[in-house]
Amino acid sequence: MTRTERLAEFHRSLERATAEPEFLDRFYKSFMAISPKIQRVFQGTDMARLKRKLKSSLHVMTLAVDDAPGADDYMRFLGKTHRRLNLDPAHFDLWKGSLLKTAAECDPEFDDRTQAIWAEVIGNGIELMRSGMASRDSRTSPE
Amino acid sequence: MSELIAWDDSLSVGIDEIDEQHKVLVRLLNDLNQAIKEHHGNEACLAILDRLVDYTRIHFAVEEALMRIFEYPDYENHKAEHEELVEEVLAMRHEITHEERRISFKLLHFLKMWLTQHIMDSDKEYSEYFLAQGMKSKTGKRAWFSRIWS
Repeated sequence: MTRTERLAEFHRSLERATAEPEFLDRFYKSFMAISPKIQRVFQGTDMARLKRKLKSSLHVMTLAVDDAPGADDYMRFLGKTHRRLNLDPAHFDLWKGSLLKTAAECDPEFDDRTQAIWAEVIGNGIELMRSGMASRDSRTSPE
Repeated sequence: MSELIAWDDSLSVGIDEIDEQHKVLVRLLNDLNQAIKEHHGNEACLAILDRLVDYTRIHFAVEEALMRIFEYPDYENHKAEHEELVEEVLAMRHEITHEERRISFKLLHFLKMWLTQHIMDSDKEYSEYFLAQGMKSKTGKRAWFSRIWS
């Protein structure tokens, strides 16, 4: 499968998964159940806002895998902005795990191949975010 | 020459006054795109970038003032997003001037990505709130900013 085909398959799977109205609620329920620290981070947060941010992040992650100009720098920037949430970089892996678990539950056609594609798209995005969060010098380069 | 960002209704937040200000941001990004493409040189590009930063700060101040007036509940998060962007752009500008780098499409596309995501995500949230609180979508008068920012 070419990257274009994998991305197209990711979009189809995302569409099927999000056709389930509970997709975002199930994801956050799964993610917050992981640890009290994660629950504390999101305590008092407007969930509707959080869901919109998630949709937006997923969109930019697909752009980053597709090498859309500016998308990788933007993902790194998002990683830096997550510092104010006092998250541990390891939380990104937990976030990815919960997202893939929810996708598997909500996409009726989810299989090993779809899982590998989700892991590729989301994995690339969180690596960019983690690199942005980890390094104070990781601001977008003008080169 | 094709524009970096073409304004369309998907970028409208539904409040003319704010849309007019966002259009200026879009225009400045398009100007920067043109200056880079036509090799106007780093000084000319930096002048546009500075204008963009100046304008952005004023625009953010307007938005934040409205958020305080309307007691927007997500004010702190939105303000933090503004501060993070300004800090990032100033850091990039510092690198350009102190490490003799050139303004590139990479920076430009980062700004495009930030602006479009911010408008379509965060700004549309506050505009929905403002409108629900009674703010008028249209005033029937020319936006104040266009009178002082040609």
